[in-house]
Amino acid sequence: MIQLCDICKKFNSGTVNETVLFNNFNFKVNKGDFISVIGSNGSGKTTMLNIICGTIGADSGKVIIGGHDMTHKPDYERYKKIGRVYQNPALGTCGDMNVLENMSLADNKGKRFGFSSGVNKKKLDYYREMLGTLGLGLEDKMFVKVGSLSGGQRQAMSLLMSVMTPIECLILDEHTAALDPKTSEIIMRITDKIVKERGLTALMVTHNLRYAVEYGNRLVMMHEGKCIMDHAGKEKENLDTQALLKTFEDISVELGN
Amino acid sequence: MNLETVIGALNLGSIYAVMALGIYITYKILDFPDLTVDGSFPLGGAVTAAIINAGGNPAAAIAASAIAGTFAGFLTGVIHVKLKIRDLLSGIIMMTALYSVNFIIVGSKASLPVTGKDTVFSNSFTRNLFGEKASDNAPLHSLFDFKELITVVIFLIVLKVLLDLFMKSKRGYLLKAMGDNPTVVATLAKNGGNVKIMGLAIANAFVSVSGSLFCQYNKTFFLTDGTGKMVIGLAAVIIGINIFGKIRHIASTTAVMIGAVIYTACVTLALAKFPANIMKLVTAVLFLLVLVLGQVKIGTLNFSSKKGGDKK
Repeated sequence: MIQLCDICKKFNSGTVNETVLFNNFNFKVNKGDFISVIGSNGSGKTTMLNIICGTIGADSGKVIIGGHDMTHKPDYERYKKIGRVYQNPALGTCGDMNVLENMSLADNKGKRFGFSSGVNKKKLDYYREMLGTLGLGLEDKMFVKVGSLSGGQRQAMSLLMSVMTPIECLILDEHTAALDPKTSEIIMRITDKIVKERGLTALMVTHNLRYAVEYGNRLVMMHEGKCIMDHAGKEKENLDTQALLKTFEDISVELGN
Repeated sequence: MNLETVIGALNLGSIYAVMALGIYITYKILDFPDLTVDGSFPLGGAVTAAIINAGGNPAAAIAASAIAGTFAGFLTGVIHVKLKIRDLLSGIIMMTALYSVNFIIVGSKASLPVTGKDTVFSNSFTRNLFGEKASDNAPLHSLFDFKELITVVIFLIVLKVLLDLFMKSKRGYLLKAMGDNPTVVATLAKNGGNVKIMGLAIANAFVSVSGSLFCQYNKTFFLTDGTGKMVIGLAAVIIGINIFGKIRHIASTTAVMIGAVIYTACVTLALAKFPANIMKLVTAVLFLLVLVLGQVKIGTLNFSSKKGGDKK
């Protein structure tokens, strides 16, 4: 589904602050995988997502999505088949537009944005029904500006909007990190439901070890631009948070802190 | 201050309102400080003066101005998006270039009159409708005195309705989304840069049409017509949105139009009281006042009728 081949990425290239993050990094996401990616700050998790989506370019290497070489394609070309939810709930929605307008925008992804009416009132009930499944009361706020919703409501909407049209892969970039424990629990449950119902391939970066263990069928731990742990299927089911924490600490010891 | 001055201010305000609609698109919707305006406004005038002097139809001159403005905005967008030049600089480059372009269009003259020629304000149709000249004994009581105002307001309403319809279309939504949150546009698999270019093109079409009306109203095109137009448009948008945009049932476009009329009226009033040599100083101070007053929360004065749910 997604393949990163021999990716190299340096930051602050040519300065004293030059840091090499990826040196011939390889990663493969298989179709139907729900991967949780964990790792300390600076381990390259988010950079990996950004390289996949084309938000930042790699210095060298190839990005292959769905069998096509997308290395030199801009981000918006890649999003044709990819949905993405960000850590910041404000990034996935338009705050100055209301819920209905946001849903209509997302619903039109992949189609022409022509001169026909932006919202289709006939679809109002359909959107209401979809929002109703979130259980956050959004179905009664169709004409409320998204900017005045809570972070949790906004994130739930981002999630729904990103999967509204047929996509092949869902990228979740610490999408529960900015939410309170209860709301992140709700968002995680909705995420899991959507991914399972639609048979999506998902790549989720998280700092929550419990979510990483509980959800998904594959777990990857990254450290200094490398995958130092990659468990799938049965192997992954046997993991627990304690074991993960232990590994985390071991890394830190190696680092000398 | 007599009635003629008031009508003159209203005429000018309504002409500037067309420009303000364009600046509303760039400044308010796209969040793009577009300085092309000071070049695309006289571009509309130059194209118009040239066409009318060549015996062309004044309405066709407006259409041609719109096309010229579209092209100017398009180029500003291309400079900004494709060549990755900062927004302000892209506008300045285009504005500078347009000065020469305008110069060439009017045949390398500092001004080009259209006196004695048909304009949208004075042609066989308006002469039939409003009469040949003002009645001598009852000044400002005949329809003739309002012919410019009526003509401009008709144009204004048509353009406003078109813009409103566009902003409600799918493409309009994309434009709104681009100004609001470019990330969303990218995840919708749309090239945000192209959306920006489109917005700039449409906005400058409005500005050029305003310049065309301005030239036909003044019956002369001056190469310097563009100076300070960005400031007028910006002030109109800020006044309109800050004062009237918060009132329910008033569309932003309507608010911007009212803003243009009010600001023009204020400037006209102020200028009547001050000598010409400090004219620009007065305009600058007025603009500063608008900006400062714009920061005052009108909501606290109980002007706002929006309910708490819409807080932002």
